[in-house]
Amino acid sequence: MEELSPDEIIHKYFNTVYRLALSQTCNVSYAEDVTQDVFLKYWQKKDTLKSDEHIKAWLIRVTINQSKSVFMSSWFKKTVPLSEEITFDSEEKSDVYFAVQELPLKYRTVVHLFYYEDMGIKEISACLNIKESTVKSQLHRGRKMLKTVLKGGYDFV
Amino acid sequence: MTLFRNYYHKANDDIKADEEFKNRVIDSVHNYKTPKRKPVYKRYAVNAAAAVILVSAAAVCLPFLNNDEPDSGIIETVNETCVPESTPDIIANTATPQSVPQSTPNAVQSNDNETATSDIKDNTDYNNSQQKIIPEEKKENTSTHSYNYYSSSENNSSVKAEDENLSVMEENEEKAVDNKNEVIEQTPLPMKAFAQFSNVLGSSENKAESSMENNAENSNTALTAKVAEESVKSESDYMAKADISCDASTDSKMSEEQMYSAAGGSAESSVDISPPDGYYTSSNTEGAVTFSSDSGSEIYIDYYYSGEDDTEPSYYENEGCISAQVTKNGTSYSVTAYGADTEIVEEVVSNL
Repeated sequence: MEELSPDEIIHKYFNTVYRLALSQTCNVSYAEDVTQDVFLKYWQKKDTLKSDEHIKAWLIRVTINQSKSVFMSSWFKKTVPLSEEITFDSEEKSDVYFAVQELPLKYRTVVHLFYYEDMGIKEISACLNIKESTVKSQLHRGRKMLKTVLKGGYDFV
Repeated sequence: MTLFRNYYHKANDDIKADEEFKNRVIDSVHNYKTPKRKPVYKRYAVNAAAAVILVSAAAVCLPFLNNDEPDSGIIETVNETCVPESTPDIIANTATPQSVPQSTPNAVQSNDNETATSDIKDNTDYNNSQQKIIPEEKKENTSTHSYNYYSSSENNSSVKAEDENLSVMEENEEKAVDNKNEVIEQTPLPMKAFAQFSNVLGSSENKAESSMENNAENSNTALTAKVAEESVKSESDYMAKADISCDASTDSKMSEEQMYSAAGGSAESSVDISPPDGYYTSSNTEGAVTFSSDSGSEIYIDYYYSGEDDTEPSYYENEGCISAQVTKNGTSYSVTAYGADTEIVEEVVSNL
């Protein structure tokens, strides 16, 4: 497998980082700031990161941590609702996406990593540095809340 | 059933960052320069300097804060028990009036008050060195001196009272010494006898005065302070005018000799008293004469100018001790004989 250059890695994982930051912060501006900070840190640590999988896990972990620092700021309260900034072409997409955005942060993170990043329970527990049983419980509770919000009979596989 | 995963996947795929934002991020990454951080020692130099200053200031000021007031030194408290300069007062109170010979030959001159009483026997153990104490506080019983001499008898009840007074005096003196720190300068006494008397001193002025009044009422030979001042010129004179007590013990005999051996010069000169038959003059000093015999008996004669009227001799006899007191020509005589007959004593008295 060919090693990618730092610029190529940025291009490859830029949207992944941006979408995860947007899922965490629920704000476009904050998501852009988090994304920029994440890649700046990557640029400083690029020499220490070697494998592709290692880089992806590292970027996800840094994005989640950087999003938490934004929550600590008082300016985070003054935000524009995400529904006004993002639109979808179908109603199901909109309902599903914004239903996930309504979940608590810890459930939202696990659901996003599991259903969009297609990460397993072990990967999620290693990335978030939590127990696998915790990941399972959070994932179960997230699904339960989505079933309550989403009416239409979605299959959570 | 629609899969949640498919719809959530498609929804997130529709979310894309602007290209302009992406290029801006890449440019910022390329242009990013690591900020120069100051060395650690420069960053914390100010804090370290402040800490050092505070610690040093605390170390310097701490002894001053914790230092208690130093002791003010030894408090010199002096128990003035003897002031030779005040001998006039002492002498004024020393002479105890002699009892009336007619009524009680065994009269004992005693002071009703608990003043200092001198029992020669009890004073033998006194330290010969005089203690010159620097006065700081005056005790009630040390401002003036008064004591009474008496010709006592062991069977006399007043002797017991006087012994009790003496013991009380000693206790008071001991307490005075224990409670106060004294700066004592010891100076050698010219006379051992005076040290013995100074041990007994310690009564208050009031007691001295009352003792004088009581003595004046009871005896014709009581001295007044005025007469004492005229007659006494030195410590030895003071010694000579004191009466001695009669005691059967030999120690008292020796102490009597010591007491009166250094009698100083006074206005009167030594009196020539002829010894009785079988006796010879073994000692003749101013104020004291001693007759001794080959058999070991001794006769002590003490005299001093009292200025009183002549009195009839009064005799007192105890086991092996005969004493007599008489005043002739203004001079008071006290005769004490050990191992001698009454006739001998009468002869001596008549020869005075």
